Amino acid sequence: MQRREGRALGSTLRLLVGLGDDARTVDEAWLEVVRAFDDVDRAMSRYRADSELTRLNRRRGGAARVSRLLTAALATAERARRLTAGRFDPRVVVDLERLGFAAEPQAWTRRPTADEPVLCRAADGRIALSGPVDLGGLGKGIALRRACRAAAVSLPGTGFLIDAGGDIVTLGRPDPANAVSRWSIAIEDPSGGAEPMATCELPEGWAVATSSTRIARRLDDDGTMVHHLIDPRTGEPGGGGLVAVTVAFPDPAWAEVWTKDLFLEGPSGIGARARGRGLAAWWVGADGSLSMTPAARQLTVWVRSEVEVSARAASVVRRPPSPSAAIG
Amino acid sequence: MTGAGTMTDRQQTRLPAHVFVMLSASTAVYALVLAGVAGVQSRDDAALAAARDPVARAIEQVAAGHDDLGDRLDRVRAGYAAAAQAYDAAGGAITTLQGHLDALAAAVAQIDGVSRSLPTSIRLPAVRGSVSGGGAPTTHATTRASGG
Repeated sequence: MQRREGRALGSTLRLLVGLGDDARTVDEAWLEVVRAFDDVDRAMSRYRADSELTRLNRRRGGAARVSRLLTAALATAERARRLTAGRFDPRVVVDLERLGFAAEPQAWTRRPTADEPVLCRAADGRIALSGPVDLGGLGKGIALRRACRAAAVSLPGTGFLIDAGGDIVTLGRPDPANAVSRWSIAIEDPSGGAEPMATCELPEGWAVATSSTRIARRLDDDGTMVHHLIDPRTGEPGGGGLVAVTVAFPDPAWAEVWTKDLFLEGPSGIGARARGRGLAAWWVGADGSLSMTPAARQLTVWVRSEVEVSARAASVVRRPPSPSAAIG
Repeated sequence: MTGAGTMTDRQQTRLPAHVFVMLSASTAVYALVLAGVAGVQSRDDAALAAARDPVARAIEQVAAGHDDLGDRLDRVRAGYAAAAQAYDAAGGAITTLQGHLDALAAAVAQIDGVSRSLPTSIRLPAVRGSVSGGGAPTTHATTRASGG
């Protein structure tokens, strides 16, 4: 198995190629992956003053001609906003900057109403925004999608995995000769523990994404937790106490959308919402307990809390065990 | 002499005409009064019969209701008799069940006494796991907070 590593979009970027290809072919695929991420970085980064998105935000609603890549990303964001009833909305830049999660200043503080679409297309093909846009997580998902397609051309018939700071896309199998081999993924313990909360095996071609408050968070002066997962409906950090949500889905960009959607549903409603959409989702509550949907249970191989329960049960009788992972 | 006598008899048996007139008149008046009284009596009888008709019908209905009530009472009486017979039959089974419950209660009391004598916890001997500590299996990658 061969690895290539670098950095892109502010996080680590890793290509893991299954058995069967030589180093030169893997290098070519790696270049394609890096190029795909560079394209997205130039088009969608809020951390670059010269990105297309920053320049479009700074036009403050003025129309401009942008690349097909950014247009498609904005259209995807608008579709996600409609499908999630506003739980996913990329127009949270004003609140991110107010809460101290600043990147390159976007110099526009308009708060669009909930029913305004993200973008307007002029007849001449130019694009105008209804409010400043941040395509951070969705942009990473789109970059993974493009990188996967590009690498598939260089690595025909070979299984590979691309990991962009914890958002992951896979193609094929780790061992093409073994029909039952699957890419196995660990789900991070959001409290920082060395051992994962669980591990799962992805179906062929699936992706997985996590939204978590483990990073980009701080305690406010009054002791409340401030994190970067903003609820567009309130302008404040959302989730109602949820700590992390992981979703496995065939497309990396939509896996990212669904993690945000489920996270902002909060602990009381996330199970019903995830089951209703048929999603394979895992989530960690404020008490550190792991829950998952039946679809996720089918992909799950190992659960830490269940092993802990088994270990405790072997030493003491008649003591109520701590709960194992719940099916939500 | 004979002639004189006959003439006297005739004079003696012949009634005066006004007597006949009076008799005839009184007979006619009597007949008329009798006819009038009969007519009045007939009308009174008809009115009385008409007045008594609803009462007679009501009496008939009461009699029919009484007959129906009698039939129902007969059926209820039969049902009560059947229930009483069934209760008598169940009584024996209930007595048997009561005996079984008494035996069960005695058994439960015996088991409870045994369970109270058991220790509340048991320290099991340490067993070396056949798998390597139950740790997480090796994975290809970790999905985590990416900050996006």
